[in-house]
Amino acid sequence: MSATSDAAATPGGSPGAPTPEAASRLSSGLRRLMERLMDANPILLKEMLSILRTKLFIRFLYLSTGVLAISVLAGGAAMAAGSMPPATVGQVVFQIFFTLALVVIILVAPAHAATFITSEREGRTYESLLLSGMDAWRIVRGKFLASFASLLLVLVAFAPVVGIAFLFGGISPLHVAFGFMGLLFVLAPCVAFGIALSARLRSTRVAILLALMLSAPMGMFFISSLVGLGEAARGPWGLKMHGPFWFAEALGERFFEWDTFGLVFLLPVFVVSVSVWFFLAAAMAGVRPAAEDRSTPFKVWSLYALMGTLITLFAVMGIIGPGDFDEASAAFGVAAGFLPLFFASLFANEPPLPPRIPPARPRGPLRRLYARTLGPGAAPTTRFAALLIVAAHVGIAFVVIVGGHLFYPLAVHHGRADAAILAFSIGNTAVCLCLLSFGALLRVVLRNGVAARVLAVGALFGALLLPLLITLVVDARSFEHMDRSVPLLMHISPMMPTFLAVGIAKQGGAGRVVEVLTPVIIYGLLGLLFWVLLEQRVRSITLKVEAMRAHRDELLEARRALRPSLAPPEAPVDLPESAPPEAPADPAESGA
Amino acid sequence: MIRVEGVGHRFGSLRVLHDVWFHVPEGEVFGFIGPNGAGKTTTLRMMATLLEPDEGRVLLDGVDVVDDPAAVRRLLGFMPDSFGVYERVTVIEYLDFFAAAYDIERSARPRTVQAVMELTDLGPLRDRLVAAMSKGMKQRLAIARTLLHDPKVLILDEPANGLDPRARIEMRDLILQLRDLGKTVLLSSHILTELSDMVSSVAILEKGRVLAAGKVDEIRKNLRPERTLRMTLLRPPVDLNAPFAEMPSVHEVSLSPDGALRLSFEGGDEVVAELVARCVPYGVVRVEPERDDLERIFLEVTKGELQ
Repeated sequence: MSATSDAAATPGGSPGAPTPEAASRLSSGLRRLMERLMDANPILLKEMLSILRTKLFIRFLYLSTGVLAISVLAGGAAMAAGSMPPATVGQVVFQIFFTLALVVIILVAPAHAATFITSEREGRTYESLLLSGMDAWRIVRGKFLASFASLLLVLVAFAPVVGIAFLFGGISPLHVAFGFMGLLFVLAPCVAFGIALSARLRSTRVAILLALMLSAPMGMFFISSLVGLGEAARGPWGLKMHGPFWFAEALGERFFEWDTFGLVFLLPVFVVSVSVWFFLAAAMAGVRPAAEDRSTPFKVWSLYALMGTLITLFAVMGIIGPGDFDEASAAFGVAAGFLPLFFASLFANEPPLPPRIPPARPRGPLRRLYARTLGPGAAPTTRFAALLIVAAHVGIAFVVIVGGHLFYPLAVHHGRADAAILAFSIGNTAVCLCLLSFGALLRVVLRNGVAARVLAVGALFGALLLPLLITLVVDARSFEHMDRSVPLLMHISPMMPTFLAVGIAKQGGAGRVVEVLTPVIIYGLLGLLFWVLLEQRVRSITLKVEAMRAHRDELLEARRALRPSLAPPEAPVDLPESAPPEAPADPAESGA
Repeated sequence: MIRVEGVGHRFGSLRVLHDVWFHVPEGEVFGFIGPNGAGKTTTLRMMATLLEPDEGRVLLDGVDVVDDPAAVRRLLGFMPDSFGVYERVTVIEYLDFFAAAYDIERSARPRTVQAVMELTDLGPLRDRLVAAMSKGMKQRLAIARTLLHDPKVLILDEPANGLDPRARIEMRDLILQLRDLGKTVLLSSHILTELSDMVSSVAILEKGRVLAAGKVDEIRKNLRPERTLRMTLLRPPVDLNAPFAEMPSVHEVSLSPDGALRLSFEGGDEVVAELVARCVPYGVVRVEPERDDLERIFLEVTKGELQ
């Protein structure tokens, strides 16, 4: 040891000063951290190299930019030929450019990303990738980033075309910047959606076809909704532009207005992040084999989605205004209630037993506790989802009630609004729990997640439509006063909490205790019954699988004892086998 | 190093593996042979954690492939029989990608890639696009990929399949070089003459069952105690049986088309010494055991049945 380090290590050295060893450890740790940060995802690098060496991509880049430029020029020329002021022509050209770019993104991005994992499977490189020890998240992240980055190049190639709009005026660089931000906001979920499809499917052709079939109508709906929202915002916010990219003007002119910032910036950020996260979690579940934990990424996502939704709901409470706040708050509360319904359907797809592969057997007491009580596997996941559903409804009721009192302290109908959201929350919790436990039980019994979900949601729709149709046939006029009295048969509908919320918000809740309790009792008891059956079924499968494994091990030990060397028997005959316990047919049930 | 214990597997209602047992000792080149459809690839895919056995277990260096596949993947380099490569990257980019995938530190990556390229003679092709490489070179590249993380075990499924004679010889030399580096190599192949130059132990699989497993010599002894020796003489005797008339252990003496004596006998090396001594007057030029041992064993053990 050097004299310097000796001096530093002696007790006489200044107390608290880091020793050279500690400093060296720290610096080597920092160096490793920096190296990791600088080390880009290998899939991203490899894919970018491959893409940039693909002639088809380069041709697409040239062709799409050329077609876009010609279309924008033609549109601009047609507008300029009329009597339109130049500034308006500039704005129209701006809208044409971004709308065309948006259409390209919506159509191309999902189809492009949908090839990223299927092509590995078809090119027989997927197994090498899995054997390299890359985890699912690293693979999915690399594929997502590679597809995103390559499509970003397309946007960069498009960018000069928007310069045509500047020739006419009426737009600012800020508008263009927010327009591109909007394109990126759309690009991210489109790519994530394509990656999720790619992870789930085997054939590239099917993946592309499905991506196009789904993205085209969804894109049309999205663009029309965007135009509609723009028309709604034009008056209150004094916007001049028509078309789907009105938000660029809104953000450019009113970025620091809290309603614009919240609705046109923060809310889209949340929607984009929640959808990208969901699709990537779905892609991870598709990449991971059945023997690994597929539900935890969805669980983490669901917590984020819930928190974001509650914050959004709170913000919305602030802008609905005191006039109709009682009915509007109930309506927004009911709308937020679709999220726990989605959770119920999402988490009804777990195999009975948790997977065998680590991190299903995590280290640390807290993680072990999580794995045992709320982790992967049908019973723990149902518990987690049930807690989540209860928390979601408590959160919705809390946000609506507290928000209402906080933002509108002088409003007179607080009692109605509070009672409406409470009635909805209690009833909808029971409905969601029933759907969850019924779906989870079906999954365990049928051993098929898709069939279980379809049947569970089908049963929910059946329970919704049947009373509605019977009531319509028996007495159609009974629907005329739904806000005051709900027809008797509709009490068993899963929509009953919603009808009640609307009715109570309008007319008050006095004397409607029985109506409030009816769905709670019906769906609550059914949910409880399914839950008990589910826990019993999981327990019985667990015991069967454990017995089967023990039997297998015993048999193996016996055979090993009979066979000291690993050479085969002289005559290739099977050693006597005792009948094993009945094995679950679903490999996932044994954690495989 | 590799223990396969009572492994069975089904694809739907078709049982493709029945109670497969064998053991690959550390540092050996082990041949896994059998006709098409015997279940070789299924067994190898189980060892490589790509498939789970329905019965029994597979252990690599004591680690169960089902319980801890991640640990097994760190121990293992696997080259499947039909594999794909990324066509639009160069050799060095390809290897660098997998080195990063194996989590080799960024600073150590160039050194590792260089070492693997040297071992597999890919250095001169480092900047060539994979798409422009021959099949033999792609096989070599696939082996190079499996070596990046310095695995203890290499599993090569039909590594010489579809290669020209030169590429096959180069592949064989590479495998022997890997054995000398202390790797345990398990390879399946149809080309038994080439395997016999490399392997010391084999397992013979047919219809999903192991018919024979162990050292090649031991299997041969168990099958037929008779041995065959080829002896090239300067002046072969007119009566071929005359020199061995008083040796009851010699069963048959014949002349092969190339003029060498073909001696079938029973017994150990002392009988070989006696045979040579009796032939000395005729001018012994060369003595060698008959080279078709593995083929003969294979033909005797298997029945040529498909499943």
